Amino acid sequence: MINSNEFYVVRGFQAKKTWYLPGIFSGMGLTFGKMIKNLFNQKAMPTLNYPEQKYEYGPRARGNHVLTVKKDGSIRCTACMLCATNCPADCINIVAAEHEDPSVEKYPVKYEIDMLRCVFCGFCEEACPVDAIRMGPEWQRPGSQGTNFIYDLKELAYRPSLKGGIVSVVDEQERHQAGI
Amino acid sequence: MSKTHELGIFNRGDRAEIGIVEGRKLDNNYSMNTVDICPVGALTSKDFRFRQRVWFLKEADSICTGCSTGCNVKVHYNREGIFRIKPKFNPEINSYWMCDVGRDSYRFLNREYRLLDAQVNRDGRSEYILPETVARKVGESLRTAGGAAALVLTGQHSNEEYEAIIGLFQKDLGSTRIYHWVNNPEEMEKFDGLLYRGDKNPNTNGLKNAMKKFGISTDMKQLAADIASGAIQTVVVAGPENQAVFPDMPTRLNEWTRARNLVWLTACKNELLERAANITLIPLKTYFEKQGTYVNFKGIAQTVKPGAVTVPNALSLEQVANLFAGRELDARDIELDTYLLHTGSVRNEAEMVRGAL
Repeated sequence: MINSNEFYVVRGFQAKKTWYLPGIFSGMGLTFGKMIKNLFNQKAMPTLNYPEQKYEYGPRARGNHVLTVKKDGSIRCTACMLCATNCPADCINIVAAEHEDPSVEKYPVKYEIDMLRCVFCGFCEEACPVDAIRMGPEWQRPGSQGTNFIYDLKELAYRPSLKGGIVSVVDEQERHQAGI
Repeated sequence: MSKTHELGIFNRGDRAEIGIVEGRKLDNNYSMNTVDICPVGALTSKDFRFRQRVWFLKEADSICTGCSTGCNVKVHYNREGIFRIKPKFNPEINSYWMCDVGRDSYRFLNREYRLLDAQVNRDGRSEYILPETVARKVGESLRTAGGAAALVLTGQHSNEEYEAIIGLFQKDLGSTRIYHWVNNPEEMEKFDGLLYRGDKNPNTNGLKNAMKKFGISTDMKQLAADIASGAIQTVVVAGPENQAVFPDMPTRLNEWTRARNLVWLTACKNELLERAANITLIPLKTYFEKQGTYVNFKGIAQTVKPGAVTVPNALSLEQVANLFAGRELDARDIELDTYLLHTGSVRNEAEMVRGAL
């Protein structure tokens, strides 16, 4: 706790910190120095024109979730509920059902993530045994009033930015052939 | 155990496999016990398969109210609802088993099957009101009716509730018109040799004991005659919570709607009741929501503790009896530490009072 009687002393040359004009000039020198540097070397400038320019995170960043798909484009998820079990924010809601194809058995008819509850911890990704859920570098998904922040299956697996879905590295047929 | 011999072990040695005899189906009233027995989860129940992960479920001890055997069960539930019933070992009643009909009887405990508000149908329109308020109002009219009020009881409530409501009618109202509604008199003594009995009420014996204790012996035929002659003005029916086992409900309802006031206390929704022209419906708690003692066919009394609350507004018959008598509720504190299921939309106080104004 900071006591109100205490104050912190800026160390430095006495004239620079107490006199008026030397302080102004040294500050302005710094500002204009940066400006001139940036004008002549714009690529090294550390700031962005935010809405037009966006900063892309590395591929391992824990951003928005992606549900991966199989080679035929169907959902990879087997609705085992391990992500929902592991989720500390309790934001994953899955409804499982029997698949028509007897070799698939179980699949999610509903897979919802409440993005406003999500804490982006990545535990779902860690829990997933079949590489069905990943967290991608995409993180800018603002919305104004009325935006639905509960992302459903379509949004998580087939949103336009994924260009038809990301193929999972775990393939059931290959696994069966390999005897796993 | 079911003596139907569908299952068998085929082939020998390491090629042995468990299968079903060709041309037969595993389709008897005890088939789901195979699911309980299977140590590796290779057999699953169609009803429960993929509905919930077991580790998301909580369990509470209870009894099965599907018939008068009173099998000891564990009810599995979580915030989203009640999902299944499994047998619990009790050597005196059901050993390790229970029947499939009993396993299906969890459904009506869930919110979508339940009556959520009291409903008053009068002059062609329905009002939805807080149960307590309606029960108080009904109580006022009952106390003026006195001996002209009749009570119909079914074998689906607990001993404590019978005592309270019969005591109310006999002592406070001075009415001896208390009737036992038997749903299937011709099947009462049926028994399949294992567990399932024809008497599909959990507490027929309890009700009989209570009637005997209060010295009541009445005949249902008298009730219909008295309603027709106008001797009975108000009929209070403590209806069944498991309505599927009451096939004569429509005819009885027709009979009783002829009375000037019909008050139907029930836990579950029913279109017939909701559309009846002149009726007051009050939601009751199910066996899973209240503490109560049930006496099975052998005379074994079993006390059940409340597991989880699905409809917070619902009343037990004891509470209804207290409200009818004009007393304040005192049995409410039981619920304070019970688990509350998701109640859908959250309702505020103002909205609940709306109907009473």
